[in-house]
Amino acid sequence: MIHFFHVSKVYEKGNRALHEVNVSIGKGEFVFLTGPSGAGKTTFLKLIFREELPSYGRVVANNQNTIALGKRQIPDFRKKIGVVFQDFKLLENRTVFENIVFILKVLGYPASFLRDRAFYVLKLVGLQHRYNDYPRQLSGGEQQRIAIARALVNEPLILLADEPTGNLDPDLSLEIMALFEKINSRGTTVLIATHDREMIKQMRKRTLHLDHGHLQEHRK
Amino acid sequence: MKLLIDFSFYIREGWANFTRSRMLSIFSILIISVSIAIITLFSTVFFNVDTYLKGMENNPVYSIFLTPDTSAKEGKDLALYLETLKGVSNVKLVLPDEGMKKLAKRFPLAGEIQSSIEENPLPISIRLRINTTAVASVKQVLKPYSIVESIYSPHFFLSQLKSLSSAVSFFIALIAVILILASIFTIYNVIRITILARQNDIAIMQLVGADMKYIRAPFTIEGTLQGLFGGILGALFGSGLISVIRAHYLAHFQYLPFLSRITSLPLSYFAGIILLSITMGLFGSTLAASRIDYV
Ligand SMILES: Nc1ncnc2c1ncn2[C@@H]1O[C@H](COP(=O)(O)OP(=O)(O)O)[C@@H](O)[C@H]1O
Ligand SMILES: [Mg+2]
Repeated sequence: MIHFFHVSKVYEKGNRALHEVNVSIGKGEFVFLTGPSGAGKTTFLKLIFREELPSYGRVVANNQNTIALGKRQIPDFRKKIGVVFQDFKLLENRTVFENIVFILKVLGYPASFLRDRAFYVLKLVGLQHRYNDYPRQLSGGEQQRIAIARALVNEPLILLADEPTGNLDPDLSLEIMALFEKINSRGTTVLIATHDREMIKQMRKRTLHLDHGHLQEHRK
Repeated sequence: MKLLIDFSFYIREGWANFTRSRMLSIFSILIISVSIAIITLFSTVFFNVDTYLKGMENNPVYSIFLTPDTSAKEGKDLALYLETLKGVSNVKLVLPDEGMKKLAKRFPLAGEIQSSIEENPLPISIRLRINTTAVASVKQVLKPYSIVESIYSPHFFLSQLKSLSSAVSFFIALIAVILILASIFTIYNVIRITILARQNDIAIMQLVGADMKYIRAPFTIEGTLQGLFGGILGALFGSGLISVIRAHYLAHFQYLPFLSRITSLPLSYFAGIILLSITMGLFGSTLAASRIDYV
């Protein structure tokens, strides 16, 4: 499902974020990506949904070489990947409900389906009562849960989550993890970047470790 | 059905954009409405001159001057007869005094000259409109009348007026093109600014997989709405201006009678002008939206 072949990423200013990364993640896997801050976790995720392109090597996601994707193919490619961004990336001047509905419209769901589906995912993250609030009226943790709801809403082929529990207290974190496992059990490949060691220990999943752009693997 | 849903979505998004950037929208609408008002004004003048010239061309006014010793009765009889002919209309007998009054009104100097000479030098004349197709036969009918001195037709005047009018229309078209380009440029820039202001949202939408058309269409709708409102406002503004000008200034232009009778544009012209304005909005905003970068 996700393959990195000799991938290096050097940002414009010469910052080397990833170095000669080789890894494969199969369909339906549940994988943690860990490492200290600045290790290259976010970069790793960005390469998968083609927010960034590798400087060297190839990234293949969902059978598509991201370098070979034409501009016009990018939206369809991204539609199959749900992303929980580290900074949430919610639309500021839309309500919670509109944020979710917008994605459903983008994904081409019929109008009759939008409302029910939106409330369904909001209920999953426990925020259906905040549907009419704007993102700025929510706490960091609540915004994060909205971002999670948005990423889950269409049960994507791949779910990428960048520090999805960074703003959540431990109980809620576990609930969210359970949610990810549920999605995973329905066939979605899940990749979660986190530096929460406790969480990783508890979950006992495959874990990729990044350090200064170098990838090591610990299989449990 | 899908298309319909998409479209209503674009309209709603476009309307939301439109109301969100209220100051910019108002600015854009004002610029467009000024351009459209000027275009309306010009079109009205052009339309009136054109109808006047067409009327002159199809039913030109002729003046039949009668010999100096013709009596008023003879003149009147001829006028009555002419009225019965096919293709002849608006027959009017002009007696010397009346003729002089008219002349004096158009050319004040002639009035002064007239008051300094005792006898009225003008002959009796008959003014009438003759359809171009009937001119030959009317002339034939008049041939045996010895009281007819000469027949004067305004062809020379008409062709002068026509070449003047085409020079003016060229000038008007030039200004209209400049105004249209300026409006498109304004809309383009205003939409560019709103795009820049929403760059964050645009990036997010792209990252979650929105197609470019989903991102671009609302901006296009926004510009089109500016065109629509600017067009309506400008057309109203322009026709208001016409009524004011007509009421206050044109009444004095009696030597160009069509100017004092200037009519406002037919509805179809207004529809065309508003359509033009909408097209400007569509064009300017499509151009701006096409420059949204891929993320
Ligand atoms: N857009 C960018 N331009 C330049 N350098 C960047 C950019 N994004 C990340 N980096 C650098 O790449 C390295 C890895 O960053 P990142 O992938 O965000 O790490 P993590 O998510 O593990 O904290 C860091 O040194 C960071 O400064
Ligand atoms: Mg990061």
